Amino acid sequence: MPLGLLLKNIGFMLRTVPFAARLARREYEAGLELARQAGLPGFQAQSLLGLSLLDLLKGRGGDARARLDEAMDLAQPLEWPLLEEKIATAISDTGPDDR
Amino acid sequence: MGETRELSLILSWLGIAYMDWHRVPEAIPLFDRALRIAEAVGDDRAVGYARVGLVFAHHLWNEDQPPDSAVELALPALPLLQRLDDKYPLLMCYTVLTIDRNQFGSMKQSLGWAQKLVDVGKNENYTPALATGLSLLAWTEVLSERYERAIDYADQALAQAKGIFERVSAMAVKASALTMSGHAQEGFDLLNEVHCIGYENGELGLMYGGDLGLGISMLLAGDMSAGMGTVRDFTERYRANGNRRLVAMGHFFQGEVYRQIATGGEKCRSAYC
Repeated sequence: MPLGLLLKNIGFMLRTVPFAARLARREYEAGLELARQAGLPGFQAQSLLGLSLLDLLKGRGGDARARLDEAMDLAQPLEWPLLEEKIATAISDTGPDDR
Repeated sequence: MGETRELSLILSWLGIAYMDWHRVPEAIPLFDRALRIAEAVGDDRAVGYARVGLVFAHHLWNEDQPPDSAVELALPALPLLQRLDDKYPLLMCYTVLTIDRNQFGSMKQSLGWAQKLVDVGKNENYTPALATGLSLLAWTEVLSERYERAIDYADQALAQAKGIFERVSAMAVKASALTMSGHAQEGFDLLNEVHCIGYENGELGLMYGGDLGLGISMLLAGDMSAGMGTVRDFTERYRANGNRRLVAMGHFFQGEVYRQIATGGEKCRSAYC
């Protein structure tokens, strides 16, 4: 990163990096709740995908898998191949389903 | 003036102006009154404007509405709108249907409505519909990560665009496609231009609607603090404006940014990035 940008971002990064995963979860959950209320299955699936990736980061494969299954159920009727593909890739990252 | 078709049309146009200023709750009673007058005098064009005004208002102000309220108002209005010689209300209706399905996540249906708009533009030689339809096709291509096609549609829209709204809509989608395909600075410059044109013309919808893209382009260009501030402002502005769909979108993008920071810049895996 160029020095100018580094200096511009340093305050933001110092304030954000230690809490980034928690902040991400909070934003995804807020978005998920609103997407549910507003009847937006695409955004519900996207938010669940984001939350599952945070679960994977924490090593919670089972939680991630449950969210991804829900995301896939929401995504399949939409005929949005890209979204399905991204969810399927994340599912493969969770390893075998041992539930 | 009395309860005439002219009064009904003026009320609808005033309602559209209120929506442009982000004052949707004040627009709705104007459309209601316009519709009542238009139906009483039996004027199809005035009925069309009032009905499509209500469709747009329910699309924008959706926090206390059932999820499909705009679509449920739009679909029964279509036969009348398709019969009118004035194609502007039809343009508005197809635009709402395209964006609604896009936000819903149904890209195929969204493409279908955008294509209908393009067809109206071609068949009726009505360039606002053609340019708007091409821009909407471009948006759906952006969401499918087909950026070259999106830029191609946006350039076609720019070539057709005569009015400010059509031009900046095409510029905004081109900017987003550039940003997402790795040309963040170019995208930022173009979105900044959109913002300035919106400001100069008093078009708050143009100014603020593009702010999510502007924030994302700033983030991708490396200006994290300002970019995140812009995305946060976008989210809070639409919360105040009763648009829970765009608020959901704003939260989602903030989640994406924080997650990428948490994972040390791992490639975004959402279908938007």
